[in-house]
Parts: sequence; C-alpha cells; structure tokens
Amino acid sequence: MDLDDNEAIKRKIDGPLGFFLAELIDDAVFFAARRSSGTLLEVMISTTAMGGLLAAGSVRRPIPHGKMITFQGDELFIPPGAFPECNRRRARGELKLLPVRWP
Amino acid sequence: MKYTTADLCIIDGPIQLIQKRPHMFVHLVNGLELASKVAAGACLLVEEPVNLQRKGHWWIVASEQDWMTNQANVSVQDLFLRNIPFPEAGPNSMHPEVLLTAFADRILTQNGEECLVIKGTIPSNAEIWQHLKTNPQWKRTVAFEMTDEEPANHVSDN
Repeated sequence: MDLDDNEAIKRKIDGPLGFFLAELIDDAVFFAARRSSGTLLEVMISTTAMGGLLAAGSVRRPIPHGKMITFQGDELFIPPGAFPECNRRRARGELKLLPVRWP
Repeated sequence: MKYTTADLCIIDGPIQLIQKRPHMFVHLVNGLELASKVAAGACLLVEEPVNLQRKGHWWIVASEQDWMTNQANVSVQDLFLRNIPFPEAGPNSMHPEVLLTAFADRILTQNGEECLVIKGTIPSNAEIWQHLKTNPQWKRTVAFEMTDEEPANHVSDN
C-alpha cells in the first residue's frame, strides 16, 4: 500500500500529519501499541533513497518525548509532501519492508 | 519479499514493553513515582484538587471530580490495559494508569459507590476498603499496592 494523504489524515492520532519511522524497535512497539492490533515492519532504506527522502522534506530527529514516555532513538518523519518520493523509491525497490518479531 | 498476515507480530497492548523497558516510562519503579504520574495525569483533566495519599503499602490518588469517564470511547478498564493517547498532555503522550497494571501488585478503582478491582484479589475486609469509605466525597479513586519497590538510590540503566 502506498503512502497516501487521505489515509494519513484518517489514521492521525496526534502531532504533525505524516508518516513516522522509529529507529529503535522498542520505540516502535510503543507506537504499535497505540493502534488496535498494531504490528511491526522493518524498513530497509538504501542510501540513495534516504537522500531522496531528505531532499523531499523528510527529517531525521529525536522522537519528541510525550508525557509518561522517554524515547531512546530517532525518528524519520516523512511529511505528506514527500509521500510521492517515498512511493517512487519503494516501487523501485529502494525501500524494502519486512515483518519483524518482538520481543 | 512477499509476506502474509501470518508473518506479522501483533502488539497487543503496552504492558509487556513497560515491564521490559521500565525506564522508558519511569525513573524509578516505586509507589511514589507511579502515584505521582497518575496524579499528574488527573490534574490535566479535572479542576478539583487531586489528592495523593499513602497508607502502608497502598498508594491512593483521588479527586472530587472523576477524571476517567470523560474520555470518549475509552472505558475505565481500557485506561488500565491499553496505550491510550493523551492529547491533553501533548503529542506522543499516554494515559498513566496502565503503568500501574505493569508494576503494582493489586489495583482498585472506585467511582462513588461503583468499585472495580483491576488487578489481584482484595478481600472485602481489607483495610483499604474502610479507608475509602471514610472519604465519600471522592468521585474517583485509584488505589494500588506496591510491595516490591525500586529503592531511591537505584541508578537507571538508561
């Protein structure tokens, strides 16, 4: 499934609109647990794809701490404006998604 | 790579994560810190004063205004079992009651006359019930028992 503006709006909980990837699996588990039947996918991003995403407006940064939670790693924030770039790179095989087990 | 739903790991609530990585959520696993988190959450939701008391191993957070029943589509049990977003506290925040389920030995919550034991068994002659009866003005009470507390001089592994 491609990243999609309408889907992002429908699934937004809080914070800015977009798609977020957590660097560390424990941080990702927190966000999966916010969803009903959330799951975990590992996303492998090639160096060139990462360059394209950053050029399109994506940002790697520490995950903003919420009340009751301190995150350990960074996030890659992909704003809606970068969705087409992300979808193109994925179609070319420069982003690969794999299920991951936890714990 | 192709995968199916059978390959996916479903995350069914946050309790396992909280127990595995406690210091993502609290500095110390003790009654005072847990009670403070619940009281801080309540303070964001009600205008009436929020009380924090200790009675032996029991910690009690209470208010004359119910902070739990004003969450749309969220039951009281949900607050103790799920990672419920807490927008009033800012992005990426969660309601704190689930921390008690991860760490406390026994938990009860009371809304006036209606009482719910969330975790453990609490005999009808337990002293905590008598204590709650002496405060009928409380419209919401959360009481939990901690017998195994992390000492204040513990150094976190974070």
